[in-house]
Amino acid sequence: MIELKILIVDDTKLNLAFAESIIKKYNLDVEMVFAENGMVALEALRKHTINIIILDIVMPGMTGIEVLKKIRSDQANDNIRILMFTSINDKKILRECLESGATDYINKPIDEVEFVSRIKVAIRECKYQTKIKDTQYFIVQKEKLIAIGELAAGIAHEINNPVGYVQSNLQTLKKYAENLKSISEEYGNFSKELLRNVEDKDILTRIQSIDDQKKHMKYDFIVNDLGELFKESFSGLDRVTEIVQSLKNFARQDKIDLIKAEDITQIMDETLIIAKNESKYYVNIIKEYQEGLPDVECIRNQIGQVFLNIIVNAIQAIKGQGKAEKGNIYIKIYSDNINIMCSIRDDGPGIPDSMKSSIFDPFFTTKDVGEGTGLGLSISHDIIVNKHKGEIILNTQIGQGTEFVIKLPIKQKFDV
Amino acid sequence: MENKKILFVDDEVDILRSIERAFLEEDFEIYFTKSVDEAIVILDTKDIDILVSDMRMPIKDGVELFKYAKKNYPSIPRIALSAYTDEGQVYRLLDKNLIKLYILKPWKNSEVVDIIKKAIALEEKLNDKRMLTIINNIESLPTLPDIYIKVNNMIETGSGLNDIVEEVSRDQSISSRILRIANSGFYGLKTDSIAQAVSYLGSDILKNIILTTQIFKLSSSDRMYYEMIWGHTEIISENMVKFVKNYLGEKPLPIYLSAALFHDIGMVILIKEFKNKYKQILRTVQEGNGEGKLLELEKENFGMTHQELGGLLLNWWEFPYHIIECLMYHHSPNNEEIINKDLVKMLYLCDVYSWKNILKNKKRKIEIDPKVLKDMNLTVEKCDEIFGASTK
Repeated sequence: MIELKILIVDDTKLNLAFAESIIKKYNLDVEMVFAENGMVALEALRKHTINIIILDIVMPGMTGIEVLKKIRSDQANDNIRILMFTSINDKKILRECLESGATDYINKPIDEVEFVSRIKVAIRECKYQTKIKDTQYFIVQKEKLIAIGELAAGIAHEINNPVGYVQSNLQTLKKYAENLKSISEEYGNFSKELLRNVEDKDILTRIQSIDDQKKHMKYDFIVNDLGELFKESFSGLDRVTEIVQSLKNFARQDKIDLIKAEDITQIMDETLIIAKNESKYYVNIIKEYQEGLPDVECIRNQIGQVFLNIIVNAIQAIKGQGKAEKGNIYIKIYSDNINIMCSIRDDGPGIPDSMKSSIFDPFFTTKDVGEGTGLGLSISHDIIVNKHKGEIILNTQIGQGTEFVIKLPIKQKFDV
Repeated sequence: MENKKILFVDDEVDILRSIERAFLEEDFEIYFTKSVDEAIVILDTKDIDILVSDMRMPIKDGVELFKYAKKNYPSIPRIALSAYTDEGQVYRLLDKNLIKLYILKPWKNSEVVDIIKKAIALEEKLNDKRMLTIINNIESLPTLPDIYIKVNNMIETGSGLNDIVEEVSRDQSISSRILRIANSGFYGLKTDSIAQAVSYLGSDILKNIILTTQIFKLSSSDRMYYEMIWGHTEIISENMVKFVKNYLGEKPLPIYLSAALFHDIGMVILIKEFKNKYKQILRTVQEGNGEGKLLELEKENFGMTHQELGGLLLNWWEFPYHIIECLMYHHSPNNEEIINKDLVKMLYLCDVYSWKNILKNKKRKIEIDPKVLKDMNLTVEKCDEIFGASTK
């Protein structure tokens, strides 16, 4: 649910109290903030995310119109709906208010029905506005993904060629290396035999000098290291292939994933096992699952992938702080029988405001080059929002930590 | 024996060099080139046994080379070595019978060598002299039907959909077959319009439907067998949809339907050729002696099984190995020589379960090869669940 905040500004305490009582009486779904003058109102605006303002015109100090102009001078406040609160019947002043950016006005003295109706309209419009903004955001997000999908097919083809011969050559190189190794071992054995059986000084010095060279070149180390060297190189190539595959997932539509009723806690537990390797030295995981949770219709692998992305991000954020003590990740799963909510909260560094809007963008990453593809969260977003018709909500505060809430409908509507 | 000659074509020299190294220890005579024009010269002058080519190349691409090879040297197996990540793109080439096989980049050297060796072994099997003699003596051996050739020409010369629809609409059995398949679980269309069905199925499947419908035409006295084989084919293709959707989580590819359509073509020919003698064998088997017995009896009486006969025939018609292998091995899915094991195993399972559907109320128990189950990470219970489900 969207929690709206309403700021009521009036120098008469009585009016504030009366407004509060009406809003409570009619159970309007808003949180109230009060201010008795312009300065306090502007201050409140800085502290809270306000959606609606009811603004008295005649006030000591700054007048309502001055406050209104001040608020509208900042683009950040463009979406706030401002209702002028007035007993003035002067049409000129009303016109000035509306031209300066007021949305509407409410007459004083307060008429209960009018007051409530106008606030309800404002609330409704706010909700629409948020919805439009969200939809717009999702559309843009989806378009970005499609663009990447198209690019990905081309890029993947280009990458597969060099990876193809590098991987093939590496396999050949490994074979060569093994052959050379066994031949050189034969020579080694042979020279040991010579050392025992031959007395020719020249030959003995030659063998000694070869052995010295071997030592100098760290021959034994090299021979022992070959296996690891190939193993690591092959695993690097596998990772490249994996990245190409994950890019491909954007483009590909011919895989249909199976939607089944799944136990979300089980998916979470499996994910935690996978993440364990990464997490054990840096974080404690604190789980809290509501009892008797319903199964959720979802695509198991995809949900697992989302959990993993978020948890690994949390672990890396905590790890990145370099603190002496372990950090915490709190995992909470609960349901209201329509949706299931999975909250993954860490006490890491939090995400700065400047990055909040871009964390779901493809290729956005704060990790060092090579550590992340920058696709994790955008894929997660696509999975939750587009594929599962759910929501992914970010709450974060610098220095406090970050929480992702994944909200999934228990029943999926199938597009046939 | 003389070494087989393989021609590799790729515009990237590094790819060719790496393949050269991968085949260093193998007894092949290998030719390399980075251009389609040069490849054509090599095809024309050397006695090439296998052609392996990249798909996307500048100036002339793999499709052009494969088309040339298919036209001029149809007996040389054509294999694509492709960097496409989307297998759908390669499957379209298989559907068009333009390639016999594909290998994806990046590859494992040992696998590529293995695939080439198996392809050679399969070719030898399909060109076995003894078998070819038997086949040549079969009088009712079908040639490509006239209407098939006609429609194929229309497709290749770019005739409009309307003309093609008009042509196939003249044949009652073909048009009703087209509608049945379009409305089956495989495509799930709901239509009584041939035009709509044809445009949905696409030209490759259309051709295969025409081919099977014409070949499956039996004399009216054999109506029963005709119904049986088509019924069986339809259940298999339904089963494939169930398997692919419920187990693999994929959409069924046209090639699966082709495999289902053709898989018992050998039986039809045996019925036509040996009439009562073969029908007697079918009855004996049906009375409870199992499928293995069928193959034995076929071999004993006719020198080859319906599997081999079907495989040879489709190879003659230049179908890809994917389908040929399905025909040849659907009763022996564990054969070591199979290249596309997964597809053959899938057809095997769908086949087994089609009998299960038919014999639902009868006592005869069906056994599933435990190795197939293990390889595919399945259990009997899981199979029951997959094939028991509805396709809707």
